[in-house]
Amino acid sequence: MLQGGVEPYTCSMTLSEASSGLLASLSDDLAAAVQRVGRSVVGVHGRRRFPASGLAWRADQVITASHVLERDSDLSITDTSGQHHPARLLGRDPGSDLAILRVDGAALQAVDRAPSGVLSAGNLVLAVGRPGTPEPIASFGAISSVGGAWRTSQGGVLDAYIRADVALLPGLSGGAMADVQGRVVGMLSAYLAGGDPVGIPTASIDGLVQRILSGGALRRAYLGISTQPVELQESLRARLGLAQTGGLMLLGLEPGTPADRGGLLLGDILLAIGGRTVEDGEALQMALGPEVVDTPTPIKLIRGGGVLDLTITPAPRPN
Amino acid sequence: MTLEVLTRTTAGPVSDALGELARDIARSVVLVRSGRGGSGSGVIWDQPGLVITNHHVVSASPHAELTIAGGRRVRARVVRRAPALDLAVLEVEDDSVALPDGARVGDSDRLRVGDLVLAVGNPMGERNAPSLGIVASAPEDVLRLSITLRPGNSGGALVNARGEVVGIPHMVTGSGLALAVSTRTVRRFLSGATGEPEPEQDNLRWL
Repeated sequence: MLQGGVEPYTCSMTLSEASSGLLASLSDDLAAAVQRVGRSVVGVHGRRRFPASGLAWRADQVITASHVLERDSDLSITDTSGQHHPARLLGRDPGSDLAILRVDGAALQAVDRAPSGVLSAGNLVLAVGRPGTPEPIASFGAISSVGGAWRTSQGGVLDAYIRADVALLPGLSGGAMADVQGRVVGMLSAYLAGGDPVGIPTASIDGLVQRILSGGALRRAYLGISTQPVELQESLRARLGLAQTGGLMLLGLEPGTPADRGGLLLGDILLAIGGRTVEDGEALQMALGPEVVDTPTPIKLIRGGGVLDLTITPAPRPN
Repeated sequence: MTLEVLTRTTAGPVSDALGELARDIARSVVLVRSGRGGSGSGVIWDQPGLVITNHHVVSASPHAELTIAGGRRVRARVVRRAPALDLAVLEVEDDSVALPDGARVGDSDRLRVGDLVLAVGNPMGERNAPSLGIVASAPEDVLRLSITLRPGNSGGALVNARGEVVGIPHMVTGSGLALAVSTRTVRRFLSGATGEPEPEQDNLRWL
């Protein structure tokens, strides 16, 4: 296995100046693009764990991914200098995973938008976020496909979408999908296509923002409960024939609300709402969309060691 | 040159440049085999006779066999370890063996989010395979990268666009995400600030 004798080695050539310069130039451009996009990327705090990202749409408005807001109040953003600002939820549409926040006094720099319809499969894109970190974070890849009208896994319809093979760093949802010049092409969501990154194009976002703000068809459903995710024991799952590993235990129930009138009790473990499995806060938000408002909705739950099916009619969310 | 011109006319030359970079770096990257059939990569450092690798690549044995550019295999000995940093230093045992030139070592602190990086190692036994990615977050003792790496890339070279080593990849942390020990940390380790010297093992024979 060992070889004897000395073999002389010639001096290895170094990378040619031209090649090195070209790659260094590309590297400089990517780093500069990240900083440029980063000026409009903020941190979004709306859940117990890791912060997410958001995009400054106007000086007083931030858009983010609906699924990263596990609560409707006590929201805040971190601006590019690390300062916290309280934020108010103006509206959300789980079907397209978009939420709009109002932020006062932060003088945000609105995103610089790339012209629409220019990018196609193969073009390089950067994914840029700022999940509460002082510097932005980024991943990069190429566009896999750009498409037209599409029904998302959350039951919404997007009039257009961008798919790219960018790595989903923690906290990147709600951040920017941008071209290599640092212009924003869309907002990133990890929740619309089974965990694959999807960009909602800026032009589509304009339409969604308008619809959300005008109130109209995007009301949220309300049950009147507060919950905690719980793991389901293996033995229980086997006995009840359940595939899901968790559910939401009812810790709070407000009198006179749809949940109360529908017969839910404290200690119930919710398994599914309207046919959608609910294992955590995100899934609950997704399940309480406009399609179940004022509509009798099947709810599957565990009570007393057995599965129970109830029908509850969620009300429109009070403001 | 404006960026528009860059992206319209230089995709081919960029691709060629990446190929050249990968070949350039591969000269200083070795295949490391150690212990019970484990393998990974190592980097010939810019200090004579030293090869840097991850501690976990050589954790099972004080000896290793290196395959250097050209296919030649040489025996090496672990002379220093820092398990907490996941770094180790190997020295070729035969003084008469001339290693290829060491890699140029760069300053990992100067990395910016978005900077291009190339990892060259031996993923899944494939020799000197390069992977392209970018720096994912601001550099620290450990670098976070948006890059796809596989077992065998450990201990190899992570270089910047100028072909300077800025890190030693050592862990995959998610789909398309990896960590590398920064050269800032490697320098500290080599200066003697951390790690322990390997105890003398003269009478052990490597099988």
